[in-house]
Amino acid sequence: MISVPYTADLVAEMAKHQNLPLTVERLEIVARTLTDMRSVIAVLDSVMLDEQYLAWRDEDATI
Amino acid sequence: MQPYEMSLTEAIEAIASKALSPVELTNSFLERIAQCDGAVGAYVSVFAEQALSEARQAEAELIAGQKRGVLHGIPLALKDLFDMAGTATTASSKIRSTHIAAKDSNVTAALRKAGAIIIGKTHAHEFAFGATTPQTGNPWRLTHTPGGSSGGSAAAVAYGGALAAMGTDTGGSIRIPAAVCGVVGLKPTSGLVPLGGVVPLSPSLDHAGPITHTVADQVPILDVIATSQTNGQSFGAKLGMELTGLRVGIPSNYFFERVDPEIEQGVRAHLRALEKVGAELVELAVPLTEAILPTQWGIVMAEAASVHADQIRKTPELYSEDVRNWLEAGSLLPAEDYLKARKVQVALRRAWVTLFEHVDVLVVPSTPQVAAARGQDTFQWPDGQEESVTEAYVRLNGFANLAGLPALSMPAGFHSSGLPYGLQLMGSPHSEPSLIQVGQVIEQSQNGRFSLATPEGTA
Repeated sequence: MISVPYTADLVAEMAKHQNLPLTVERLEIVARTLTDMRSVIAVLDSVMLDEQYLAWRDEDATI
Repeated sequence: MQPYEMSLTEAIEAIASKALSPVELTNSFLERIAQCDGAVGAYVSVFAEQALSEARQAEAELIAGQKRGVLHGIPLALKDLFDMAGTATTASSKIRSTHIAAKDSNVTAALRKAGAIIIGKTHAHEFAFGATTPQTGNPWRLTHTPGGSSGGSAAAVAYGGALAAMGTDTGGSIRIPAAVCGVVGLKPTSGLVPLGGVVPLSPSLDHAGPITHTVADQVPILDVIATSQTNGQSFGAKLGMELTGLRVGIPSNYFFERVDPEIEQGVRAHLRALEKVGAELVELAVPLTEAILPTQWGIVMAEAASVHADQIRKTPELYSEDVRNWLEAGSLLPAEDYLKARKVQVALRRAWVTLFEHVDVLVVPSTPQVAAARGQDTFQWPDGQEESVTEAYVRLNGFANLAGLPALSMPAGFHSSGLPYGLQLMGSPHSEPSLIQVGQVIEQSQNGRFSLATPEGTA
């Protein structure tokens, strides 16, 4: 899980690196959306420790 | 019966037998669209003059004994993500308001080569990135969503504004609107229907497929647009065959959890009906279901941000608020999230494709709820939990996109709210003929297809 939610300041810094023009009023909503998004995706960390995943994974495969 | 009330199969027969002319058929749809679409808003654009001109040409060819193909003189609609030479492909976005396609998409070209007349382009959730299609009303109740992202296509078919319409599906975008509008939608096996000339959302999960009135109506379209047919046979090769011995899988986990009780009961009643006609019901646990939404989001959010990388930086204000949020946040996702999701997808595919060694089809609800009200953001469950409408709709559908499996959503009944709901048949890669076979048996058990919707104020 994402333990620390993204802040507007952190998002502003990340957006600068990505050349993504975010106005000040966009920072909070993007921070919330990114936090939610990464929290959902973070479930994969526990999935990847699951026995079922380990049984079906293929380290050499690409899709 | 008015021509617009026909199924695609009936219309093909009527044209072939000269009981109906392409001009009469096309005019009937144009009149129905004029009568209803102001209220429903399914269409972005209607090509009335061009469609009638092509219908007259098709009629002249028939009189001269010429037939281009199985869809000769048949009017169809395209979700406005499919290119059609000389017309705009807006993807229901201001971003593409000035776009004009230079040539037909592969699907458009195949349909036209088979004689189809493209009558218009239908609304999508902007860039197919969402499950509600805000511009369009559900023909069964205009205050409710037609689902999405192919909401315009499903709504048009549901009210008789199209014999059939093409949709796209990245996480349920054909099946969700088909279910909540009471029509049939197929997401084919990955790679079966070419995506050239279709505006992408998430290229590794995008699919194109038909939305139709009946299960059998899927066949003539699939036969035309698919890159290959099963053993050289029509996709309808198994229609009418008995189900004796067919193994029907019922998931014991995930797919019936947090589902409206009426929808669950309705789907289970269809399962019992299948058993009565000889199918064997097999309960089984589907592995790794907790990975469905995380993997779906990890792939879609990153790939959509990549597709829109230039435009979201140049003109973010032209996107609608929900799509803009996802694209901006998706642009900041670390690559490790995407790579993790792709890695898990490999395991999901291996696990889920293997599942079909034990069953021939899997039957699950298409959506856990009927159509949400327009503007409704969440569903409230009896345990007090809230779930976003998009997440609720996608969670039963992402399975087939991630594994590349075919999935058919078809009407399963009407909820006490008066709105339709659907069930979903899924199978191993290239098992479309079996899904169509089983789907038609279910359809016949409920006395055929649903009637057309009559949108409020248009009777």
